[in-house]
Amino acid sequence: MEVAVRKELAKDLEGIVGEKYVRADDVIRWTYAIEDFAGAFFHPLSDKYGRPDIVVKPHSADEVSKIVKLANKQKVPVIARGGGSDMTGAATPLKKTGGIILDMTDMNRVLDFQEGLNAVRVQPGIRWGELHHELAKKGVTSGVRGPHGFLGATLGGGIGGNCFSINSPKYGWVNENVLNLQVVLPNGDIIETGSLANTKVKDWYYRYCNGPDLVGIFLGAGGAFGVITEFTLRTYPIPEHSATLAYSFPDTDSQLKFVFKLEWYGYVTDLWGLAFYTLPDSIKRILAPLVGERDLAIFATEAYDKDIFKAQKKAVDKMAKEFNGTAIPVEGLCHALGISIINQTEWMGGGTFGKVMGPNGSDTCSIAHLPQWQRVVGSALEIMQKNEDALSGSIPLIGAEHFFLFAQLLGRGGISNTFAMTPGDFTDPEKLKKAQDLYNEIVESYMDTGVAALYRIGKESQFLMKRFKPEYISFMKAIKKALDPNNIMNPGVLGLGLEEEE
Amino acid sequence: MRLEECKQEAWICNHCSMCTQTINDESGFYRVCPVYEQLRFEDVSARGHNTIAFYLLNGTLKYSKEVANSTYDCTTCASCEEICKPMSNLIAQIGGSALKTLLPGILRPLGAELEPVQSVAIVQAMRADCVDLGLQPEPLRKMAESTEKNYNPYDEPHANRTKWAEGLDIPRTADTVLFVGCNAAYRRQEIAVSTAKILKGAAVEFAVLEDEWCCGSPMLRAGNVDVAERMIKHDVDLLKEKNVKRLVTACAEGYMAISKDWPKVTGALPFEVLHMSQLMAELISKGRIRLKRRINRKVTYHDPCHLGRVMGIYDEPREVLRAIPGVELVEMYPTRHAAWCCGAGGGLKDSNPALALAIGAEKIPLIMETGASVLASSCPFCKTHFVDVIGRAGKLIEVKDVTELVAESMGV
Repeated sequence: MEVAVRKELAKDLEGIVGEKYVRADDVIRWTYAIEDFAGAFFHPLSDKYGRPDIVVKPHSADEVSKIVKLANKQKVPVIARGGGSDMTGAATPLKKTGGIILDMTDMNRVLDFQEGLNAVRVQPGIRWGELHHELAKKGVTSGVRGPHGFLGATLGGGIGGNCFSINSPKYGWVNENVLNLQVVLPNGDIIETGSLANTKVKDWYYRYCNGPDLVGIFLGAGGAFGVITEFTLRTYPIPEHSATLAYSFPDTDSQLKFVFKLEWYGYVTDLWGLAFYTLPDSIKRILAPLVGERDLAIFATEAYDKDIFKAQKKAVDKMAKEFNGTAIPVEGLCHALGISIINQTEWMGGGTFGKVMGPNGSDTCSIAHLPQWQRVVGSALEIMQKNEDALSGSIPLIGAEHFFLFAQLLGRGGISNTFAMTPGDFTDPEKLKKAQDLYNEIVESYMDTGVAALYRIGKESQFLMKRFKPEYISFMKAIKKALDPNNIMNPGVLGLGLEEEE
Repeated sequence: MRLEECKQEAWICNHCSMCTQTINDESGFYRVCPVYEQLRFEDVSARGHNTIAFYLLNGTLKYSKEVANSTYDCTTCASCEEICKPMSNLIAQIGGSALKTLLPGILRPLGAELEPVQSVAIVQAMRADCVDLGLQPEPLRKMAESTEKNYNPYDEPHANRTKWAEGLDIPRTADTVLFVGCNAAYRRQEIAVSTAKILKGAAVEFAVLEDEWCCGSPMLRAGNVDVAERMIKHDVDLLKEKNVKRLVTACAEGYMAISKDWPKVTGALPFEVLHMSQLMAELISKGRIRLKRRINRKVTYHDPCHLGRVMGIYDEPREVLRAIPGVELVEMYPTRHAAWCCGAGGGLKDSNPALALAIGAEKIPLIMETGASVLASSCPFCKTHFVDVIGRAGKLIEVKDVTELVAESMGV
């Protein structure tokens, strides 16, 4: 965008949100040119990412609507951004299109919470930590705790990007908990879905009524079809009884069967699984003397009633034995320390990630059908082992020179986040290139198994577009064209809005 | 570029955004970056600074007035580093200090660091580059000029440095030296006086050195590295020449600089360094400080960022306050490692006074919620700033240094 045009547009935007909330200087443009660092660099499109032209902070749906109308008139892209920690470039502008970033973090209020509603109405810029704080005051929980480690991430980014969450095995994906939306469409119209479509309804939020489930179109869409400006999330009572449990298993097949059944029966709140043979040697050396060369399931379980909790733990133990599981006595230790080691909010955040796990590792944001987890991980493991050099230079946990980690982060519905952590030394361009290639090869191998998918797409659509059925792509494009004929909503996300390249 | 030294740190930041804004009930954080809370754009948060550093390092972005503005809009309060500390949440839940001490010892030999991304060091390195390029904000440039000329940043004559001590009959040589610091010497002389009176009252043989220079801290925070090093070398040479065995200071800023920064410039220091709160706690426990007079006041304590988060001194000032008969110590929320900055640090009070005051004003409701009638701190800079902030709000609460309360209770 030419400087004069940018200045003029910035002035118009100041008229909508006020001078204090519009920035178009170089510093702010570069600051908003990147989200999650590792995600941005492992990404094959990273050289196509660029700066926004302007960053704006709206405070209401009305302001968003006016901004979108203005952008539509001038055919300028609009990209809504929350905490800015997406790993797939969802809220990063493309170099060739630039655009206006809507920094949604000032739209961070809890709008409605009523006793007996079992839900909370929020603005999308609310951060997970802020939500937990507000709900704790009411004595309830959202169940899903947000992405691992990103208490600074916003809920809007979570629902726009299909957030895999802490406590997903029990409470489902974040988006399974969304009841209702308010969305600013690309033409500036403000719509409300489900029960709120009825003008008589003011504060009753339900999703599956008044026609088709329009909520689903906007969830996981990365802002391709509109800007979410309000939504309702389920809430739950806070369980009074919880424990961290762990079992080891003689082989991965037994471990996976146990994990699958555990989730199916609803006994697990959150779980990390480790298959011994997939671990780096450094971790193997530590684990082997402690638990033998066995596979692990470490998980949190909880209940509202003491007797049910007791019975649940007994049932879990029986289930583990069915698959030759051996209990690892972590419950007493965790109880004594007053912690749960599984549903911690910090494992992937801040320095815990950068300094302990290894600098700038990347998660592949992929899921797999749990019973076939080994099929998905197997080929990726071979790729990793073949290319260890690409991962050298990291400062990983336990002093390992090379480091990668496959873990099963359990979700609900028999799926697992096939978390592949691949640190790389980004200060060395050659190593960075190798790490990028390795990352791409791993994701490609996942996708070719036929039992894996990307839960978060962002701008990583190249993995999908070549595999999607043509009818599916046509349908997506038809929705896009109907809602956003000028392609202003986050061009490139989900592979949409860049027709001119084809 | 001096920033080159921080390249690895800038690359390690994974941009998780916790340092920008969040609430973490488990570890007691309610908001993180005081500047972001005011300005609301990410270029002033640690993540923003780290991003700017990254683009400066790869040559995409060039230093400019705008870069300098973003870089200097930071109080260096290190709240960003506190929330970034690896496994700090878990440590806080377990209960804190024992694990905090043990865990690095266990993990470091295994190759894992428990240090956070060094976001404050990155800011300071960018500031140093701004100084080299003539982009430093004018008020800070003038302070550096004054420090070179007068050995204090306030443009005060060096000859007046110990004027506060007139009539107190303080020796010029002793094993223990009271390092007064520029702020207490020229601005908050009541802290210098009460500190000296406490030491005398406790029969501590101590000296104040007429030729003490600035500790270098304000210069280091502002990016004037060369000036700072000159000050530090002078002070260390002087203290060595006087054969000093122990240095005590009532300044949080000075204590941090002397403990952390001086050894980087001159090597290991041949004397012990104590903050006055540490020495007071020790003297009270030994019965050498006798707190005779009751002070029937409800007191809340503001943790100076550089004494608390950076140097880990949280307990001693509280122990001292609790020992004063009649004092009821009440805590703000958030507190200790998650305490909100007063707004004065990192040169912000001079480079952007309106912003510094706004940050300070934000803390007033937290202070007033405690119902305290006295706001105590252990740092002359914090006191100076709170006197300004609270004065503008209508003198809602009295602001005192811990040394003043102790001196009052001792009746000295």
